[in-house]
Amino acid sequence: MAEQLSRELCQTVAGEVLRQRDWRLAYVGLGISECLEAGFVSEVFQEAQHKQREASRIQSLRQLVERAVITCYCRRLYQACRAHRTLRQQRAWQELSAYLLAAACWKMPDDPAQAQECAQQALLSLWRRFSDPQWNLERPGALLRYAETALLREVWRMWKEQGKRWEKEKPLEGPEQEEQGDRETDERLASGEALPDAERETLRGEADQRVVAAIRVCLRSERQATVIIETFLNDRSVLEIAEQLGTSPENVLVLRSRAIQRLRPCPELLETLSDVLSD
Amino acid sequence: MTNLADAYRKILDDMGQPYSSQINAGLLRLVQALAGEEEPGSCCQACEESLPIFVDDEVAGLDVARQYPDVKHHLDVCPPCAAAYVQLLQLAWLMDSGQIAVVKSASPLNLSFLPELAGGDVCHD
Repeated sequence: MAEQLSRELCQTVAGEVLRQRDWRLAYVGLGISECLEAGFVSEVFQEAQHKQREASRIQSLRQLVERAVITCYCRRLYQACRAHRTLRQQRAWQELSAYLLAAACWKMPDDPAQAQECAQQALLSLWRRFSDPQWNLERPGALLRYAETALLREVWRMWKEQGKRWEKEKPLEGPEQEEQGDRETDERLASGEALPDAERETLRGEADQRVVAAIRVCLRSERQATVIIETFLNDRSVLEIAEQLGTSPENVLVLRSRAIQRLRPCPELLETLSDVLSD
Repeated sequence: MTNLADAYRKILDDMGQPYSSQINAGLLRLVQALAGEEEPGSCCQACEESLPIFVDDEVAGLDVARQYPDVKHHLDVCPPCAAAYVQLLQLAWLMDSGQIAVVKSASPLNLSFLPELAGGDVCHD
């Protein structure tokens, strides 16, 4: 039987998420007891219900509750970060620093010293903002996203100073992987999986159909065509397309960039777009 | 290459504004991307400021294209902002799903910037 959203599930998942990360601000007495604050579980339950109502992308119930736990915890973390001269403030900054350090070490695996330096600078930049009593975070539930943004800025700044092109850092999907991906996509199309339905659902009118046909003529890669069609004509996000193609968001961007380069000199598309848009 | 980009720019120029509501606005963005048209710097700044919330909602499964159309559409046509967005998205996804472990470090960060505890507090940690 499928799992239902319940307070019990929220309590279980909250315990797991908080223990895994050693986050203690939602425990009575900052983790001296093993007892989660009752108000926290209620908050997670409400947040999970809200996320369930609002979500448009399919995800497991557990994932949904995990994200609700993180959102609710971020609100506490933010309040605690600003709770001047208290134990909670000290604990909050310890947790934030551990989070930033872990993210930095993942981002810069070959250089722990630089990772530490970037995490430290990101932490200080957050402190400078948080210690201003006039300043408020637009959405405290997204605190970790702000922290990650601050960290990435430091990483990019450091790479820029070293003359490193950060856009090219990660290994990109090469032609061989792209061909393999195309074969997999073709198989999924042949077996009637999601792609054609998703397209049929949202493509509007003859103009769109003509442009889609021209895109397919110009691009030999089905994956590149899918990325362009889904991005521009169906207005889907990178993460949705990545899940649809079974690849990473980064590769979606690579596929898009290559597709644009191949589409630009293609006379069929230029002619079709010119025709369609001048009607 | 410049001539081809110019040909796409000409399509945009010839269309003028306002655009017909019958046209899928995505086609215009596609032409913009093919023309390599840069948006004003203020668009990049606004996008950068919105990214934390955009990404937070995206990993939560929300329809970000509908909720934040300006940000989404800017990301469609601005390669530098799109690259920054994808890096944040990837990091957020891995961190939220617990694939990057947050563990106690042997050499933690320096927290000496924090003010001292108010009198009477006892550190339990």
